[in-house]
Amino acid sequence: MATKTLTGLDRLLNDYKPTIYPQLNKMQSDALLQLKEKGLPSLRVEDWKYTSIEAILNQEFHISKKNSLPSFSEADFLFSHFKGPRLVFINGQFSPDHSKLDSFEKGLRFKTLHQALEHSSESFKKYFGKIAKPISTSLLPLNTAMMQDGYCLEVAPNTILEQPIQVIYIQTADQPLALYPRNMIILGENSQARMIEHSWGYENQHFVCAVTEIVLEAGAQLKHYKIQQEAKTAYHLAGIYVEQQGDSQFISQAINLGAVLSRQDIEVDLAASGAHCTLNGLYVLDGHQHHDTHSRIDHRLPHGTSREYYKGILKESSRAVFNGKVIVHPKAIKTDAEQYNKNLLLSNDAEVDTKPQLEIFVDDVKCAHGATVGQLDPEALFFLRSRGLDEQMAKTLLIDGFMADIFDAMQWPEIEAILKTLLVIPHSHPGPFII
Amino acid sequence: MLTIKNLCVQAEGKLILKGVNLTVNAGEIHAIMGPNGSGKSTLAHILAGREGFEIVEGSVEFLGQNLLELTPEARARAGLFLAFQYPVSIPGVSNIYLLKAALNALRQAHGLKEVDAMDFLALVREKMKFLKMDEAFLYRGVNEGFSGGEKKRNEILQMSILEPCLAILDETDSGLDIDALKIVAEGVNALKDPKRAMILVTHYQRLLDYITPDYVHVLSQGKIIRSGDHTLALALEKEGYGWIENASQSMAGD
Amino acid sequence: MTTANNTSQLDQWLNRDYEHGFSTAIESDTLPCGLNDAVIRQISAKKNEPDFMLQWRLKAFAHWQTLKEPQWATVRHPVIDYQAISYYSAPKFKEAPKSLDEVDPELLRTYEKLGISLKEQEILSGVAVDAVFDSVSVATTFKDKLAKLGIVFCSFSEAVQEHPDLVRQYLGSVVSYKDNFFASLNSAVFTDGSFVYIPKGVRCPMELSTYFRINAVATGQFERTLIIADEGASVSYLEGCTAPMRDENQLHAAVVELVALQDAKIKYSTVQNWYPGDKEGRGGIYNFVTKRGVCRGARSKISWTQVETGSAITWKYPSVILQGDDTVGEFYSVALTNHYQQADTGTKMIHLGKNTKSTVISKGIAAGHGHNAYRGLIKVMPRAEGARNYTQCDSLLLGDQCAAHTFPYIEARNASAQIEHEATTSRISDDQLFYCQQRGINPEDAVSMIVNGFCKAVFKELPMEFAVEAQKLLGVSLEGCVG
Repeated sequence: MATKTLTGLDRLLNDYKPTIYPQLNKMQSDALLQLKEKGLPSLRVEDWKYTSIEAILNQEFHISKKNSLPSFSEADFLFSHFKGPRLVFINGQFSPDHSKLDSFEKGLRFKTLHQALEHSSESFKKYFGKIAKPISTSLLPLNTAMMQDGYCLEVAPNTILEQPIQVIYIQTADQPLALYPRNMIILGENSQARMIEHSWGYENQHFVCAVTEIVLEAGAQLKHYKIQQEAKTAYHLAGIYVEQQGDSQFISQAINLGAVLSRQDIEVDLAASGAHCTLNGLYVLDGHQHHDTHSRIDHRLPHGTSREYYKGILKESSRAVFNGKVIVHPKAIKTDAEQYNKNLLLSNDAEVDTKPQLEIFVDDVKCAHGATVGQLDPEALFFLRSRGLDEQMAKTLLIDGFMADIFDAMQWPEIEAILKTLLVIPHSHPGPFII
Repeated sequence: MLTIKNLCVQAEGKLILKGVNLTVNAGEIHAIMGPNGSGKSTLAHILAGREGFEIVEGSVEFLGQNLLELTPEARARAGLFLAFQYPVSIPGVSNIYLLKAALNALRQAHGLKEVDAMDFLALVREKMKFLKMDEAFLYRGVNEGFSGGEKKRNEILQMSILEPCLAILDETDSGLDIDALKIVAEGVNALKDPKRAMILVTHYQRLLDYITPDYVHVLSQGKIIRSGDHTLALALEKEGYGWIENASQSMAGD
Repeated sequence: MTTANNTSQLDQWLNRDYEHGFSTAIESDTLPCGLNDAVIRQISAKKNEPDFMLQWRLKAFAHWQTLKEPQWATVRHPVIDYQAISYYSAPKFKEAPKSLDEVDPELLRTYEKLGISLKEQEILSGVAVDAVFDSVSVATTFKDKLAKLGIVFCSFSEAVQEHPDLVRQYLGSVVSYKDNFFASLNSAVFTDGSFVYIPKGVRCPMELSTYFRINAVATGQFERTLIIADEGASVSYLEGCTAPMRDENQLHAAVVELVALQDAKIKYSTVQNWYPGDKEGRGGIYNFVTKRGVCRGARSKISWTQVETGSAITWKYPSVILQGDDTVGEFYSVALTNHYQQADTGTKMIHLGKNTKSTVISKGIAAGHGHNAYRGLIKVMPRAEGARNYTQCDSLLLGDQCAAHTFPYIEARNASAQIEHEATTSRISDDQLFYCQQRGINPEDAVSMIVNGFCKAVFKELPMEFAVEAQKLLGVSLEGCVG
């Protein structure tokens, strides 16, 4: 098994090309070294106990070439009617033709990672590559070593953006590609932004290994919506790493629908007092889909709050893994943390492995967590049928009810409506999406 | 019984009481009224020994003892009772257990034997009946899942069992509907005694419709700015706190 | 200001002394330190064991040598030198005592000092006691009365002599000698323990109890308990433990196996008060224990209740394998860590049969520099239609130097499974303490009252006498917590 891992990793690293950006030299050679020493995570690692990347390592992947990118019309995009700028990447390549870069508000810098590396702002230099520092084993070094293009969003202090920012990753192509998007978000003091990231694809076996670094300076607020809707034959493994300064707020909504194997790592460092984060998520799985959410919230200083709420619906032979860590460090008095994971297990062949985890090193805190695994309530089902609904309808209604609070929490009716449409239309539907 | 002299208190660097003077004798009922933030609840809590306040100046004498030197439990055993505005819940500790522990602590302090279990139960039952409380309350966790009115009645129950010399009722009327208010007031009136004094801390006059105080004091911005008999409360009800505050300010201005 | 005051109140309360810290001056037959094949042969020979026992021990030892000591993220201790431990220590008798009258009076006094009388006429509560001193059982009470019902309650050594077939059939059937590092070690070197067999349809008329005492210096205690409840039988079993205060750490690696056949019920209660070490964390018992029960037959039930206040380090997960249909597993636990104690405890509930149910209630209390972790696994296998689990684990923190962790693993592989896990973390609030003080109750009593209230859901599962002892123990263990 060890030798296989090695060859799998070697195959992935075959495509490694030294960077053209000198400031990445050290970062990338360190990452390569780390990969060669430690390899990629296996089932023996606690954080990967339930998720194997064997299937990825046994595949042959290519790196995308910048030619013959397919074309899309405006209507193909999920949030095409939203005002505000948009970056589109097709098979990992920035597509200026599909992007919308003419409606910038004041105080907004929004460009590709390559553009940001060419002309770096001071804060980009300060933060890039410094935020992602996971304590546990992850695919971060792989992304760092193989880093491709991505987006860079910077919001100047005291700027409140009216329009949401969009980034769309489209994966399409005949041969399986390995994609390594790398993103950076920096919100200056007391700024506010909303951001939608939509990753979708069809009929492919791509491997997406993404990393996003996020910095919220004091008082900043970011709402980050991520919709993962890869082809159900693809692999999507992503890490989001967040550092929050005093009184900042990070709201994450993660919707995971696609990919045969997906994993979302999200690590939030509440590095100063009064910071708040909300991590909400929904995963809806069928077939042989496997989804894994691993979150970690570090409360380091007083008066931090965190709310974590993930729900899952599992059909057929799907499998969901949830691990939420909340760590309250010795100085973090008056922390208030809640963490919940609730699952609907709708098939005997499906499996849920959940582990909500608290590690508390100080007494003056309020923490609660919970996890449930259950089914649709037969009483409720019976009640609905006795009122004349057929079984399928009744089930749909109850499943909608199960998901309702996740949508309510989004507090953004337009996005809620779009997501609901996605969930009603079987999402294996090979885009474009009609709303 | 209680003599407060020039009591000045601060918390987190802010002066909350700025020279309070008050004398309470046995058999008297005093009402301390005042707008929100005037320091009434602070005064009640300081008398009971709540930590987190700094006594800057002044003294409090209670039954010949320097009250401010005593621990909260010593004050309680000396006969000072505070009915809390927001009684905390203590999950898993049954109400009757707390009652008994409190009564025995009091008795022990006075060199008495622990109360007999049967006598105790009979006593509690009688008091509960009077307060129209269901016996099931006894076996629930202290204030756990109690409604606002139930918590307040529970405070009065404890008071009637512990029979204090000085009872301080902190906003006991808040959050009560009129029926509950009547029951609570009856409970308090039943405890009127020539040997016992009471201090009612309240924002509104309505509790005083049922319990007639001998003296009414108006506390504003950390000072007692007016004292009078129960008619003062009625005047306050009609005119609000504004007129008296203005009056005292203009007086201060003179 | 408020917090500082309460913390110091807590401190005083936490700093009372361990009251079972005395040692008994008694002549012992102790093997020299060290572990090898010869030692195992010697232990087996001293106990006059049949060959199957020796062979089993040797297999276990051979396997143990291939294992590495486990490393746990949340438990830290210096390296244990397994060659520096004596694996056998027995009070010296000229001949094995035939009745209590022949037991060394010094030993009886030891147990009396611990509050356990071994004289039947002095026992009011109807509890039969097996007393294990260092490695061997010194006395078992009420044996004859129980024998009339066909109940076997005796030391493990005696069971090996008198009931070899039962031992052979069930030993290692729940916890195999390959199970884990400490279970393998125990299988190789265990010297005694208790054995219980309740025949078909018999309800054991009294509580059975074993009292474990480590006395000798530099010994490990490796006892093994095996309880079998045959079809329709039921039994309630209690286990208590203490040890003298010594500066070095002593190892206690026990194995408990429970087998419940069809319609049988086993209730197993533990009050563990091994010496926890001193206030600076010197000395104390390493309590590395494997406890597991199997509900083999339909409708059987196994219930674990534990109050863990002692030991420098506790590492144990009393578990239930719910093999039969309609079986029930329960785990009720109070674990308290004060000073530098560490506890990593919890349970595993493995649902195999249909309509199996499990309940887990865990209350962790961390004070001083104590570390308290709940680690649990609820596993529902594909065939376990209708499996149900409810887990509640709450932590109470006293002081700002302690830590409480919760690691609940849930693995559900059946669509009809209903699993619920809830957990909270809280501390004793200043408001609660002030409220009690205002009612005339001193802070020490108030903390004790609130802690006992916190643990109520578990204490009510303990047999009456034990519940009282547990409450007292909690008070003692927390002393110095307030100040």
